Amino acid sequence: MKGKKAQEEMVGFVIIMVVVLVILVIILGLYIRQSSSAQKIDNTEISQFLSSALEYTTNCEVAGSFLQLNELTQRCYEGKSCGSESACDITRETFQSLIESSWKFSLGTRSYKFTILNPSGDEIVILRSYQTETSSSQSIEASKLIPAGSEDILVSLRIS
Amino acid sequence: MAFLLVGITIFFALVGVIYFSITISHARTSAQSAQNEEAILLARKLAGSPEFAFTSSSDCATCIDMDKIIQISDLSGYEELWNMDHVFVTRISPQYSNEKCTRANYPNCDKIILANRSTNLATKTAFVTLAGWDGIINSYRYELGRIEVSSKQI
Repeated sequence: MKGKKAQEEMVGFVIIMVVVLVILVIILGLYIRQSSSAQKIDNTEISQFLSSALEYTTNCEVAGSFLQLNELTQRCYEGKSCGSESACDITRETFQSLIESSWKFSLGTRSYKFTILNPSGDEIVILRSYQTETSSSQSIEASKLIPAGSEDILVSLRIS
Repeated sequence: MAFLLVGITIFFALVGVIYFSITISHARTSAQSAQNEEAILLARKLAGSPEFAFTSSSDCATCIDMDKIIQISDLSGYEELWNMDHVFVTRISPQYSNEKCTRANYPNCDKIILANRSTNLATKTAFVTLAGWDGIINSYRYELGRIEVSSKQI
């Protein structure tokens, strides 16, 4: 009789353990879902950086006027050159200089990935601070669209 | 049975503690993030004020008129107007020199100080476009800059 009661208590205990675990899993699931949806929102700082950077006056002179970075990006997409240099090369160099002047990057602590995608989603310019990105799970990113005819070029920056 | 009841109570208490610690840490992160966003927006709002806004050319909503703010940087009355302890406008790229701008060395300088009261409050920054007339290219030049503010409001 005494043994049966002990068995019942053990079963009850196991049931409680299972219930508690299920509750924990649900809470954890909700928490993870909230975190991942929050990460998809554009980061204000990077978004402002991209807006300001796209206005930047570059060294590319066309018909007597110096192009802004958004105009140069459009020129890169169109496959045009700027003097003797490719418009994409100047775009890449200018963005690299602006990003690396704005944040400090070092191997293993902070890295970035910058991309310019054409309307069909192909990368026309890609920049990375290091070959392998840092393992930090916290990354912030933002994107901007540049009109190119009837379509848009997507410029994105992610810092991790 | 009494032992089991104590066990149940302890388990639920533990679950409650874990749940609340997760919720509180999440709320703290959200509050910090909201505070940062608010500070950035305040800096941007300041950049959009008539004393800062670039209205000479184009439709650049985020541009700060460097030629205009260098003129008001010597006037102390503006510190009171903005109610800020610290307002710096710094050029990030291209960089000329890290000197404080005066009417004598402008535009070959990188930092315009509009308010600089001694404070130990944290400084918040926002990226902005700096616009100014460039006699060499005979046009307006747009550069990348940062506005730094600190105030008891943020």
